[in-house]
Amino acid sequence: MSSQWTPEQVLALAPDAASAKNGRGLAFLQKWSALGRCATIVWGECQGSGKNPYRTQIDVGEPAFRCSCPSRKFPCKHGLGLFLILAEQSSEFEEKEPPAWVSEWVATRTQRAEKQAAKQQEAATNPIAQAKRATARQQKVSAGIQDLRLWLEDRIRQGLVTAQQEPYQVWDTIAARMVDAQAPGLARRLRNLAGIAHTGSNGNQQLLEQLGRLYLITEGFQHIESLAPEVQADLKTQIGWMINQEEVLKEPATKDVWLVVGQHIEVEDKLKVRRIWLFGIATNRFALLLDFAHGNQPFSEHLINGTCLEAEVVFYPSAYPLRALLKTRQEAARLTKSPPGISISAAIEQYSAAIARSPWIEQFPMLLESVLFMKQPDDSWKLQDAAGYCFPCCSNTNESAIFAIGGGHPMTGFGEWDGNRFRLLTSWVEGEMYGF
Amino acid sequence: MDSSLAPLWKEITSAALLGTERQPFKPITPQGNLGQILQMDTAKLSPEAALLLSAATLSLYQQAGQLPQTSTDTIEPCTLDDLPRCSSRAAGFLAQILDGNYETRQLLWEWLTVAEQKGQRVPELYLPRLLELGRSDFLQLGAKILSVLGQRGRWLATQISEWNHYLPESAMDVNWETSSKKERLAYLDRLRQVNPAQARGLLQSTWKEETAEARREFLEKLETGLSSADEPFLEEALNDRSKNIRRKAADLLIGLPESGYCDRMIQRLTPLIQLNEKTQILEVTLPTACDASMKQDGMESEPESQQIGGRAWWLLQLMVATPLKFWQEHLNLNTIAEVIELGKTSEWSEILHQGWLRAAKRQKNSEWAQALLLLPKDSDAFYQEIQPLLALLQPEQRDAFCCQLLQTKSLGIKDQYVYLVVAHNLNRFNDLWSDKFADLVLQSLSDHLSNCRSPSDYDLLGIVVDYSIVLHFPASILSKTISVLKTFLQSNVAEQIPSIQLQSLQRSMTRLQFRQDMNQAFKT
Repeated sequence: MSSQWTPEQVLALAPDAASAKNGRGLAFLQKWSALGRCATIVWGECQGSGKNPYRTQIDVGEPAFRCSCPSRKFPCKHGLGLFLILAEQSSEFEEKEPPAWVSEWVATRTQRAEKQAAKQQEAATNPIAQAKRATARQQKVSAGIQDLRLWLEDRIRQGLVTAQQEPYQVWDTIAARMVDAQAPGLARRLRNLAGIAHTGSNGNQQLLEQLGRLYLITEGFQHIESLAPEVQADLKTQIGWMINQEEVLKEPATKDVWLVVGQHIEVEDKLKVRRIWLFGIATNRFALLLDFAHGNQPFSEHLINGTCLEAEVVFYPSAYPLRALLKTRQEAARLTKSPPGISISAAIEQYSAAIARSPWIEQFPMLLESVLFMKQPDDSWKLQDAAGYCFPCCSNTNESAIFAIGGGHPMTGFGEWDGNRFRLLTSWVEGEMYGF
Repeated sequence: MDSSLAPLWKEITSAALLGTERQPFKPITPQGNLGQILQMDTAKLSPEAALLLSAATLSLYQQAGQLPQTSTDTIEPCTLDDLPRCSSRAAGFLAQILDGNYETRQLLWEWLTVAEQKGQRVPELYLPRLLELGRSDFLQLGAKILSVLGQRGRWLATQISEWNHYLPESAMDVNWETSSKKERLAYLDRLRQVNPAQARGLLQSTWKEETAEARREFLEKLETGLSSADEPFLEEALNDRSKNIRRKAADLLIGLPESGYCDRMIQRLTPLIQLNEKTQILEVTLPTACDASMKQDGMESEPESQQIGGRAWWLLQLMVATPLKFWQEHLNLNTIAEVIELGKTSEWSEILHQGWLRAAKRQKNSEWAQALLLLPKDSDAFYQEIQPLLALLQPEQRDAFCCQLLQTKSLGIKDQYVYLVVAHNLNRFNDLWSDKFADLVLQSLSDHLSNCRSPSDYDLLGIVVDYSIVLHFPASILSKTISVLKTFLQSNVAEQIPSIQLQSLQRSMTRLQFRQDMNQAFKT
């Protein structure tokens, strides 16, 4: 267990900039005592402002953190500081028998994992209640969608000019109606549309497109039973009708060595959404792990870019499966070499094929080979591959750093294509992996 | 964006804007596959549904069929043959410095210096932040940052226009007639270093069209590469209509001891200064007039304030404008110290002292500055002179001066003069002190610490440590310093320190520790 992690990767786990800074401030040996390690667990004691030193421990396999300090942040600055020392001066951790407070935590975690498995078993054995809930939901959603269809048809009957002059209230009302009907996905689309409706004449075509797509969803729902199960699943996802995690875990798993190739966190209305992308080395396919956290709550688990997991991944049913869950995992290693990428035209071909199967894909993963990160005359940036094909890039606070890392040389890059712009998430240069 | 779809979109969007109530929807009918999909039985579907679904189909068709743009743009790649990057641990310290506040920023200078000494460069990830920081304080940091950029950093600075001016070469790409003043100033500066005559020639060509402000700024650049070849131009500038220009031209001419200007000054001053052989008193005669030629050479007949008489004022100005080497030559003395000693015998000793002070500053004469600094201090006004005089010395001279000071003053830093020099004035310079000087200060501090009695003693302590030691002690002495302070903090005496001083001392300890770990990071 040598220093597989770089300080940058450790600091990327920090919940905010202040934690990162404080974590660095604690990355001095003088602040710690009783450092030790055993298998994948490292621990230490840090003198804080209280009487007794804080006890911090990390399971570096995951990584998972635990600290006796009162901080609500996760990982706390002590965890970050300890991890940094491990990354930079791992020889300071003596391999020895863990003290009681460490072995207790390890025991609790094993217990908890076992309980989780048992709970999953239990939930699967009440089909009657489940069926009842499903029917009730079906009715609610159906009614809501009928209302939406009428509402959409009204807008077209009156004309969009009239619709654009309507106040935000009108859109809020229909969105609320969708929430009541247990169709939050449709509500979200309506809220986004409200913004487009008020951008004036430049948004006309876009407004019509989005209204059309929304109507298409409702049209699909009208005869949902006649559609193939994967297409049904995609429609339900768009509506916001989520499938239970326990149900998903019943699906056949794909076993492979999965590389964490990139991640991104977005904030939508006080909800943090995190996308972690995995790439299966043997199966040559992508998997998306989707996590949510409310407000300032931290995410419960972390995966560092470049981690290589031997794992079983289960995909959510879809006509083009991307979203997945990690079912089981073995110990992780670190891989800084990139998997082979593809050209932009090959990537676009994949994208077309994917859209043809599942038109609702919002972020499509692409691992591109030999791309140059370049500035455009209007100060935006683009990626250009060896054949001269280009993708305009989303704006990013790290553009100059990415540019410096590339140095005008082609590199392998991973990111998300949304149909208009490419969001670069990671790149590989000279055997090093950089996340943005 | 497929242009063949544009007319279809126009059609369908117009229909949607108007509304099916006003105009019944006519299905759009393009050729081929798309047309087939769009053909819907409108009897089955309402016009609204037909319109919406057509729009959806068109949208998906476009999305699934999009092709990427192409371009033939190229970019000049950076050479991979470069200075080695500093270790990631060292880079971590840089990140902390960049993230930090004003206090941590002061350590940037040291980080850059050590990196440069080790021949290492800043890793790519931190280049943009460093370059951006340097922009806001370019005069101080520009050259320092340049030394740790490596090829990669230089390449980046070439590519991004905001950072172009880090590169001296970029200054050379200038059209004298059309470029901005800022660009021309940088260009002139660079050109003066390689071809001073050409630079002066360029300046002369547009001299008459420049504004007074610009003329002054350009004239300042002539200081680089100044030589007697510049004399004719400067003599002409003495006639300029702007007083600032005349003064600046005079300043530059003073820097040419062989010039006609200096000759004239020496001619004027010589008869006024005589040594009476018998009494060994320096006899100083005040000038009787400020004539036309003196005014031509930039002298003012009106005194600067009411505290000085007219004739004394003229003498003062003459002294400031006369090259200081005059004094030793004219009085046939070996050292500056002897000149100053002799000056004390004159009835005008005050004026003489003032004159030498101002002359040393104006002529940037470090030897005179050093000599003046060593004089016993009786007047309060002199304390204000310490910093400007220190600024004239080279770092090694400053260091030698300070060592001498500490060695001769038995009270060490408790002596007010020493204290002022160490704590307030030296902290304004960026350089690290020599091992010898730092050792002397530490010893003095150590003695002081073991004798602290009253709260005011701790005051002194705080300021000395905070402003000077943390910033200027060389890396070699840091661990010794830290242990001295640690011992003190653990002693009984420390319990009586007011908490503010105690906190300040602890903060200083943290920063010293930071510095030590930072220097250590470069060693691995």
